[in-house]
Amino acid sequence: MHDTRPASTFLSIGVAIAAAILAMIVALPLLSNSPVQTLYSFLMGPFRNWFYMGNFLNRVGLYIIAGLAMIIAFQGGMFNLGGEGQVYAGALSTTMFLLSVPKLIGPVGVIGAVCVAAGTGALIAGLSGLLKMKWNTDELISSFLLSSSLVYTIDYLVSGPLRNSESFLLSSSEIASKFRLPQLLPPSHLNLSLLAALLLIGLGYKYLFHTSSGYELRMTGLNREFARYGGIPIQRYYFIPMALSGGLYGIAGCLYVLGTSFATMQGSTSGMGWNGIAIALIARIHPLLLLPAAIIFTYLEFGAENAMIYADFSFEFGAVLQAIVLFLVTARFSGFRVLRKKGI
Amino acid sequence: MLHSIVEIMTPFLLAGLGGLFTEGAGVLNIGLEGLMLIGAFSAAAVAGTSGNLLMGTVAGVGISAAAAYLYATAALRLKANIFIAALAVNLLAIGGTQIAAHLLFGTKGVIEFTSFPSLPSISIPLLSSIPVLKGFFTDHSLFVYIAFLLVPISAWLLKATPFGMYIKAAGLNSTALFTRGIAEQRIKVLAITISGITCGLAGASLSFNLGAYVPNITSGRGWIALVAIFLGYKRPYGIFLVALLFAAAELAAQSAQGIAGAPSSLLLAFPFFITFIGMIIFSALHALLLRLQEKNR
Repeated sequence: MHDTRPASTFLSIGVAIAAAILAMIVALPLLSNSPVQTLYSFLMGPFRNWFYMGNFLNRVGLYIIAGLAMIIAFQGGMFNLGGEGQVYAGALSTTMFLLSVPKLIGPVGVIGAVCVAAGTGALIAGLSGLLKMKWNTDELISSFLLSSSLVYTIDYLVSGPLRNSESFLLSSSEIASKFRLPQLLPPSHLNLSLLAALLLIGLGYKYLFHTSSGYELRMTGLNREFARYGGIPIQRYYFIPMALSGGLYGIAGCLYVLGTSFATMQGSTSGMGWNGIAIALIARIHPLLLLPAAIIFTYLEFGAENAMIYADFSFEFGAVLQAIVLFLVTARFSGFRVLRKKGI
Repeated sequence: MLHSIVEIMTPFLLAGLGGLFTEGAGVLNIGLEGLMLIGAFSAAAVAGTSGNLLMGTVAGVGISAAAAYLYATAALRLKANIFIAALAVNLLAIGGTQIAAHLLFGTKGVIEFTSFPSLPSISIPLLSSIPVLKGFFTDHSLFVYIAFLLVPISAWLLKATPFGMYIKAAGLNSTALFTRGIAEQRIKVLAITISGITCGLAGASLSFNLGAYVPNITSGRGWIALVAIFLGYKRPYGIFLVALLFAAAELAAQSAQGIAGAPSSLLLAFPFFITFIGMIIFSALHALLLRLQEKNR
């Protein structure tokens, strides 16, 4: 994906981000009783101590994977709106798998769990791709509907049949400690999943730009007719980008359980699917820009969350932040034919 | 029973009819859900504090339409991706209503108003005495009848007026519009604004029926309406039938819960799931039909 005006698009993304930060600086003090404290904790977010820094970096890692999931879907010209459900299902399948194989040795269990979660996510999103391929069912709507019904079903499972009765949280039982990823900066949540995320950036880049399948996927995303004319089997590229996208979302949910939560808690992964879209767009749907994009987005979200501690109430700031970023970042998307061709 | 089905189907029908205009203009409006939520909150807030349903309705419709107009203009002017912009509307509606609820009423949960005016029920004189049809015309709020009326009105608008032709042209062939000196963008913005109006009505009807505002009161109804457009073959009467069908299914699920004791949290998943299944069945049948047509040719 080559942009003819790289300088200007980078400029506009900078403007978008600056505007998002400015919006937060204006909005947060208004919602708080101690504006100075609020502002300070928003801007200083992760830099106040190592504990915050560790948690911040841990989230960056998970968001990189979610962003990569969306990048692959977008590059293939598909809209996966089911990230929320795919992440959640990835988390639950990881937990259930590891709870059912207590005798497995640690690393084997971890690898097995990643495969199970990736498979689960790929199955869910792949179904939407398959339906698009077979019967031209709009993948945007079908992935959202399936994901939403899954989110509510898993909410129910975790608070009902699969709930750990000893815990006061709405949560499943915890996985055995041998399956947990090594912590890098205790007592923060930072763990090996950050490195896995960086590795996945490399793999994603390699796949998209240095394999024939990745090339075909991108060409199909750019122009389906042209790709067909060039002899690319375009039918299967309804399925492949969706399945890969869902698989990555599943892995994000899996690593969250393996390294951070150790169990599936109700609503614990909520927002990751939408954040993936925001981050993919900030990264201009290019894997190599994922790290800065994820850092910027996480910084905003993390800062806003920390700032809310000083407000007299707390709520999900995530949705507002996602909306601001999407609105602002989207404005410069005129150069992106992959996305444009689905819209106006 | 038909009475409750009609009550349940009204928001689907209203939002679906509005979405039909944008669909006709070639824009899949995934922002219906957010617009409906904005409408529901504004309508409840104004009606609850002023004690006046009409003012509440005007506020709900006005603010929802304004939001639709703004997002459509912003997206089309800046050549932004319309899906992403609509997604932002949905997310902003969730967070924005929460913040507004806190700033205005000091809560982010259920807002109960001390003197919420009750929604008057009306029966249509002659029609309410016809045996089968009387469920459609007895003891409903004005919103239900507005929704019913909008079915033939939108059919007429889309089929038989120049405005309807422009919408169709915006969706199919923008050069045709251009040669007549009409800006495609303006037609699209107008179509999206219309969907904002009907979503405002849908949201207002939801809040007024409850007499309160509940967070996420729309719970996916905008998405279901979006699917109803496709399943209704992009025709107003088709949307009416599909909305009726979905409402019947939802009512069946609710009563099944009462009998079998299914957990209420699981019930939230049901509308999404049944819509998903409905969508699959529809597209499979549609594909089959297309194949048969091709064979016969």
